[in-house]
Amino acid sequence: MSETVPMLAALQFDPALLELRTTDGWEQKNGAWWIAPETLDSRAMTKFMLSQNARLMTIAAMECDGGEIRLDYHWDVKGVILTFTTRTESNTATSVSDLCPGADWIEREIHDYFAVEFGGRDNTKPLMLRPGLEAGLNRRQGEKL
Amino acid sequence: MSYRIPIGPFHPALEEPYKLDLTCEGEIVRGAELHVGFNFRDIEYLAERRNYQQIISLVERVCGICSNVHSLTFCLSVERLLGLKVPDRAQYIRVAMCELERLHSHILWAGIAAKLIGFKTMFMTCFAMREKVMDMLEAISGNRVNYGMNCFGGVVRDITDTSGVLSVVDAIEKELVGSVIPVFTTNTTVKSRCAGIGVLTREQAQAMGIVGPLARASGVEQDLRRDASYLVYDRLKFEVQVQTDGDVRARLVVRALELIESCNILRQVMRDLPEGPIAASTGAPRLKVPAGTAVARIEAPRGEVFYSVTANGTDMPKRVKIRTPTFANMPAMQWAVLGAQLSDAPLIQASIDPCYSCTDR
Repeated sequence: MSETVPMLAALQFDPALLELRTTDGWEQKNGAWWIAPETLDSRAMTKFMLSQNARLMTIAAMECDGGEIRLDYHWDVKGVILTFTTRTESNTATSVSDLCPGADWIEREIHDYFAVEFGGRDNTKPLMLRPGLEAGLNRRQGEKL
Repeated sequence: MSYRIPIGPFHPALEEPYKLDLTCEGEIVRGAELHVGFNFRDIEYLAERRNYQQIISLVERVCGICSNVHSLTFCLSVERLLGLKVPDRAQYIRVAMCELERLHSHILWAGIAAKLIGFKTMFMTCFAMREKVMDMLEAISGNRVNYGMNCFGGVVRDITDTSGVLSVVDAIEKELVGSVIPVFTTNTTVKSRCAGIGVLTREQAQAMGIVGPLARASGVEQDLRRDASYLVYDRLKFEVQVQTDGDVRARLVVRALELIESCNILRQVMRDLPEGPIAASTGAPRLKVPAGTAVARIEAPRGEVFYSVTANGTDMPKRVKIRTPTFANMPAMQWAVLGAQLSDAPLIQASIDPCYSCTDR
């Protein structure tokens, strides 16, 4: 974390507030600051980031070996991208759309493409898919990753 | 008694399909639900089945207005994974393309807004100006819609006639200052039609995470060209245009003033265009990209375009995620129309400058 502290301090961040049990800590590479906690409480992360006037840019989803979905939560903080990476468990994740209205369409789209169930939502209406199409359109269905 | 008015998916206000279900009491809008996906092509999925060079052409098809921005943001992501350094001249040319594209987009939008306000002469004026910009884009790139300018490491065509670009910039600015901006900022009819309607407060804008001119019209002071600078924007002087009223008029003013800023940037680019190559060599014709994930973002005409590219060491990416500005902005429409007159709803939705081709990808 040593290299990260100045950046976080500059952004008035207190990483302890996130209570992250990190494996590798923050890493700056390829256009963003990345962190992949062993477990991520996405709601605690969202509350904290919103309290810092961060903007949820998007959640990038990607299918991994074994069928779980990697979720990258990309936040903008004063022009810097902070990315929290986690994985679904049994293809489920916790919704943050009640905390962050901008996440509503993002979660619905991920459900359309990868059939991730976001717990805590009243419903997950299809966003891009027409009636009759099954969620999980972009899953590879046995293709080698 | 409330009643529901379904608008779309095909209607004359906008040439792209989407559906809006409005709930009204009398003439007042009390609720709105938006349906998208009518242009869904699953470009992200297609990108995972193309090689990197093919994807440059593919992602240009995300949007017909800001096609250059999409191929450029994709190239920036891949260049990060490759560790490619782009020559200065190429970076200046990329800025020129971005600003010409912004002129094109904002002028097109101004024309549509003028038409919806009832100013058909201004609509014609704007579209005549737009032709000049498109002619310039064609002169530079050889194309009018999908420009095909970007490659990994730079651009494929040079700008050789800087005076030609400058003469178009002068002509556009003269028209903007002489007629377009005065009409949009001072005309009584425009004011009465646009002021105080479709308001999005700064708090709402931040909660929804909206971007670009729409956010800046609500007092959110972010422009990636300044705040997360890329290419050579940090060497150029320009003002970030911000308004605080959050209404349709504020959106008009922000975009109108951004047109002038784009003219200023283009003059600086033509003045400072350095000598040198227009692209770095990428080596093998069929590119293999080292494993990893890289992100890039650009201040497109409608706001932040964001790409995340995950490579697996082969000549095809494992994942290409595209977040377009309208995808972030359009949900705010459901707040902007609340309490508005039904007759104002078309103008409010147009003031967001939506692109459904982008949204649906």
